[in-house]
Amino acid sequence: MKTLDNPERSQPISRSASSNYVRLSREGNGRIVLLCVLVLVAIVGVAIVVMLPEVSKAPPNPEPATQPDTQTADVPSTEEELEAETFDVAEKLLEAFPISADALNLMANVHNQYDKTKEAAKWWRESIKWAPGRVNAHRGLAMIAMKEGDYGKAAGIWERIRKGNPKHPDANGRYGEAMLEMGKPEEAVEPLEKEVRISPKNADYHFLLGRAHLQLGQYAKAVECYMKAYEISPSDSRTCYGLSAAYARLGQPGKAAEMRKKFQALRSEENASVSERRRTTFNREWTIQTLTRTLTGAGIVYRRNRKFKKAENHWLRAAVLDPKTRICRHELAALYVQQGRKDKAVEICRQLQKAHPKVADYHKRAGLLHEELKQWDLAEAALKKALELAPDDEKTREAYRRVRERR
Amino acid sequence: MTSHNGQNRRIIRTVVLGVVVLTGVVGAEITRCPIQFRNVTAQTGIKFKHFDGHSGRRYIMEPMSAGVAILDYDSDGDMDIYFLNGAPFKGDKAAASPKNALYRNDGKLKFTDVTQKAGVGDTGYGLGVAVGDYDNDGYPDIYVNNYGPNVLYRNNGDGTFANVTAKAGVSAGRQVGAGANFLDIDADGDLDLFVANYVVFSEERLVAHKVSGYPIYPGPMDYPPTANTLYRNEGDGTFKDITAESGIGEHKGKGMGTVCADYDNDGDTDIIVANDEWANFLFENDGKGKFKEVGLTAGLAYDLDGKAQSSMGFACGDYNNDGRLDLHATSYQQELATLYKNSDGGFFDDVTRVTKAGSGTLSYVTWGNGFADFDNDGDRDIFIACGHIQPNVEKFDDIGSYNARNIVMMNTGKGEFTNVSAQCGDGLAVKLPSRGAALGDMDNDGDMDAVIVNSRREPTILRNDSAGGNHWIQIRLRGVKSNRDGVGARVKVVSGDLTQVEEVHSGQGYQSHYGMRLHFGLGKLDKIDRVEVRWIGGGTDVLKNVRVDQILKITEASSKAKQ
Repeated sequence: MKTLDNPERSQPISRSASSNYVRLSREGNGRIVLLCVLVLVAIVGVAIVVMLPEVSKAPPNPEPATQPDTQTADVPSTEEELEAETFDVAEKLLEAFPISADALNLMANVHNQYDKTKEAAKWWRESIKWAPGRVNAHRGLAMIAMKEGDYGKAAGIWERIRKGNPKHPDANGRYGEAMLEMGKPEEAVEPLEKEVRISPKNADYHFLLGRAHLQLGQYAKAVECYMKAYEISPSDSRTCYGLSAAYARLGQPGKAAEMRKKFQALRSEENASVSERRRTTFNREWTIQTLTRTLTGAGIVYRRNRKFKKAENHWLRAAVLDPKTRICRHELAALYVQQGRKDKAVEICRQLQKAHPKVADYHKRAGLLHEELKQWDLAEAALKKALELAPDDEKTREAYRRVRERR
Repeated sequence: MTSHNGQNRRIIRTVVLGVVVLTGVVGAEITRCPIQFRNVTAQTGIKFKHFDGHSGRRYIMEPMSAGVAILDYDSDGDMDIYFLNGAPFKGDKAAASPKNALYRNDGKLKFTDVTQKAGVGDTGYGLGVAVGDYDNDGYPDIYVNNYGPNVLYRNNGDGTFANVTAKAGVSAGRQVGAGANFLDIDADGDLDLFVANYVVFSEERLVAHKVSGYPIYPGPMDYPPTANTLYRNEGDGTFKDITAESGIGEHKGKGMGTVCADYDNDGDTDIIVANDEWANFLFENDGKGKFKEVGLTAGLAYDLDGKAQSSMGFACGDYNNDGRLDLHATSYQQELATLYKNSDGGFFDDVTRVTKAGSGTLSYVTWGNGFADFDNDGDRDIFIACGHIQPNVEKFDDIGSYNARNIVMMNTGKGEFTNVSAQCGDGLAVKLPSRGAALGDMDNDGDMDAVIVNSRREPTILRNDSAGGNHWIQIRLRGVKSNRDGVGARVKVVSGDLTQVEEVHSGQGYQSHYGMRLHFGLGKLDKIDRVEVRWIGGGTDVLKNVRVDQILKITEASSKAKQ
């Protein structure tokens, strides 16, 4: 089974970078980081879903099914308790694996999310000592430098990474971003052009390249890049704003007005969303998500170190905290399949079906597991739903036909 | 022999070291930052201390603190200071009854508290201030924008003021005030009044937030937006609320600092409002007092990426000497203080990054701001006051700091700025939670000093001790047909190949007032070829061959100057 790189790849946003968090500090670069995180999480999620049926190298003696203990059942009532638990998870992981770069990275991530940037930097530097070649810690240090406005330092870090691996996704793009922040759009173009070739589906880099051209007065090129970003992510208000500015300067007032209108609509939605969340449970929501991510990441580190029971408990805990969270459930399902505990795996798939009813893949995976368990009615129903959502999926169609025949 | 060699080596080493040290010292002297500020607060005699009414309930206006005004209230030729103060909230008591304070400038940066005698010690919760001669009697009046009823003080011309709020009809109800400005919206020769409002607030509705267990102040998105207010001067000592009919009332925002300036150079005065976490407003004047909000199309509503910043203050000035007024906005931590270049009178471009004007501002919450040529070299630098809103921020955020150094961005003259705060002398080493700032020549020595309000603390008075040698001129206008202060008039100073423009503003930066006396640095140019004044209403005065290094008074329609 391929190792998942969740703690390695996902850079959870910090409280300050998560923009709307009660006026500690605002969106700034956080929105870019947030987009990046969402894309990475999606990629990791898809990767896990794809791997679900791959039952390979299952642990020899599957441990008995774990019942949720009191820890997994309780959801702390206060944000402080949630925060304390988050740090506790990271600390216990580090106690278990004191020289593991994964554990050190996770500890750094937790500190960074809570704006403890000095501590975060300390843990990332420690991580570099044990695994100097891994990018995650360098990325973290670059992120802190950006937050502190030390763009030169951030650029230096990304420059080293891209020199070491010119095709590293993000390295050219983040270097280009640092150049933009340093007021050097002419020097940002080349790395950003490289990045959009490496990561063509990342709207953020097309957007940044558009920004570089806009600042250089190359408005037609700016429109071209912003349009690519817009095609990938049409609901990003920044792109619409950039397009309206570029069109206006190109002397195309009609198109500029059209993009302004789209921009205003998106901004209104964002404002309404922020206001509503502020009034209700935004703090708690953010804190729960942070703990969920930490538990998920810690679980992955335990699993990599063959502490399957520990891993399972962490993922179960994350699943209790957030009924919709996916990655911990992907991990759980994969683990259960590996261990031959298909009934538990199908239970997790059903949770995913319920939480995300429009994702065809979850219905499909559930259907395939039900089929293996010879639960024909349930298998047929799940596969039928998957087919409704993704009628062109041949594998689902074939499974559906097979199940109906078996009945 | 060996011993001799060793001794020689030591001597040589000492000499070399001496030369290196000396070179370093000389080098340091040579490269000394041209802008130098000295913290002279302790010597000024100013005893004012800001009070924000904090009682633990964390009302949103507490950390907003206040602006400050500099004005020549007694017409003696030097700048006095009017400090705003907070007040206890409902049910609370303060140890000493806090009130606004007026300090008379006795010269040489010595001040005397004349609040009592002048009768301007308002005990309301002061947030914003503007100064203007609304009754055209030759004496500057003061408008205070409070949380709660606002106050208009008419200057009696004898060192005292009268509270004429009720008669004038400008109390504006019980709103959370912000910036305020006098401006002549319809070129009728008297000053109208723009009053910014922050959010819809009620003391009864507490908003409690915590971070890592630490209580923090709420933000503007916790409250609904509100409209600003516009009053028309009726010319008889009263004002009429024309918020709705002027078009101003159609737009709700979260107003903070404001400035009124002719951004499109069409001869009338427009209104610019910094909104907190909301699109900034640019109200374009049709010349008759009707306004259209054009912030988005003009590129001023948002930053480069279309993000609504937590804009705090707006300052106005022509940083690149292209004849168009540019704007500078301060903002929150993790946002850059933003420089908007006026590209062609219709569009603003966010040039913060390419000009380096935002350098060093990302980690700070930034407030009071202003353009001023601190080193008199012929281009305008930028002053930025800094300080976080959360007094306990260091407990949960490694980057934020409640007490912060203020920032000076030095204009290189080549379209870029350099953050020279660390090289500016002890004045910029002060670390306090700064808010409003006002820039002016407080000691009449030809360079621009600074007065800064600090939340819950004493103010900071910075004396400009930049190296002399550069020439300058300061210009004070006196309107005859147009308003007496010349508010809204534009002045062009031409000296050789250096052309600079400036405008008279009432109210600017972060809820503050300064700039009735215009200042131009001239570098080594020792003669001014031409001074041109375009008054609101269209009249123009031109003076030729004007002497440098003086405070020049120009009276409208006389084309004569009292040099």
